[in-house]
Amino acid sequence: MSQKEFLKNYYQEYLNQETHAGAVQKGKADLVKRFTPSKPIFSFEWIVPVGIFAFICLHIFWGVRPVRSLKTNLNSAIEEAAFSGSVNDEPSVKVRKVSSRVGPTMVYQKNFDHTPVTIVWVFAGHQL
Amino acid sequence: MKARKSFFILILVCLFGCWMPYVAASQDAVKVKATVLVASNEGDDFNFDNDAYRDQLIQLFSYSAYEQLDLKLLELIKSERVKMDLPDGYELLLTFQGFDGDRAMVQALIRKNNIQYVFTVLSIQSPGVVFLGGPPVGKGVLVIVLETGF
Repeated sequence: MSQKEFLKNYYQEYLNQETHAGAVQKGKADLVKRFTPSKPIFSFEWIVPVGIFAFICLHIFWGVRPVRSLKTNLNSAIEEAAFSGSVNDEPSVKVRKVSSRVGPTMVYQKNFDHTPVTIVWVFAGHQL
Repeated sequence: MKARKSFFILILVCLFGCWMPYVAASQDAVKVKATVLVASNEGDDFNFDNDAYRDQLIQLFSYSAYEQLDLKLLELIKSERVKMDLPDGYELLLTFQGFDGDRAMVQALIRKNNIQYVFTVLSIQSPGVVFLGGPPVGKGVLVIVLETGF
């Protein structure tokens, strides 16, 4: 081995030891960590697939159907509001007691433009 | 200073004393509009003051003619029976029994010759409309429209 080759091997080994030394490795890692932003745990690009997956899971396992239930609620609310004027409306006239000595009686209610009208009728002379 | 304070308190007490009977009176009375109709199949006339009943009557009953015979505004005092004469010897007796919350409890009786044709107890929340009917009159039937909160 010539002196030139000896020196070349020596420097290579020296550089190799230097670059793989613990302090140098740690310094490199710190440098990389310092100037390279850490990757976020959750990326926004995952929102869409995760959302679709969650929706499919809810749909399959719990039968959650938000669109349909929303439509159903809306329809029933509209129907109820159209029929009675308000969801919590009670009839304005309640018949607590009714009787007759001349025939059967009938009580019924009908809505006129959201106003319930109560009818108390006796069928005089008719036998049950 | 003390005399002035006593004077103001006395004025307040007097005002409160004047106001209370009105409050008490409003709690112990209810106004009812009673419309007396005769429905029949004799002709096709609609003769009544309140045209709002026309559509309701057409949809509710199948009579061809309706004639208004009477209309009275009645103030019902609690526990006092109010009598209204009806055609063909009938009588309408109304008794206000008091308020149950915001509902007026009204007892209504249609009778003739002491025979009870219709007896009912109504719980009415203003505005409220109730049709009492069925007793025969001539070739038709009697219909009484009771209305509150008009």
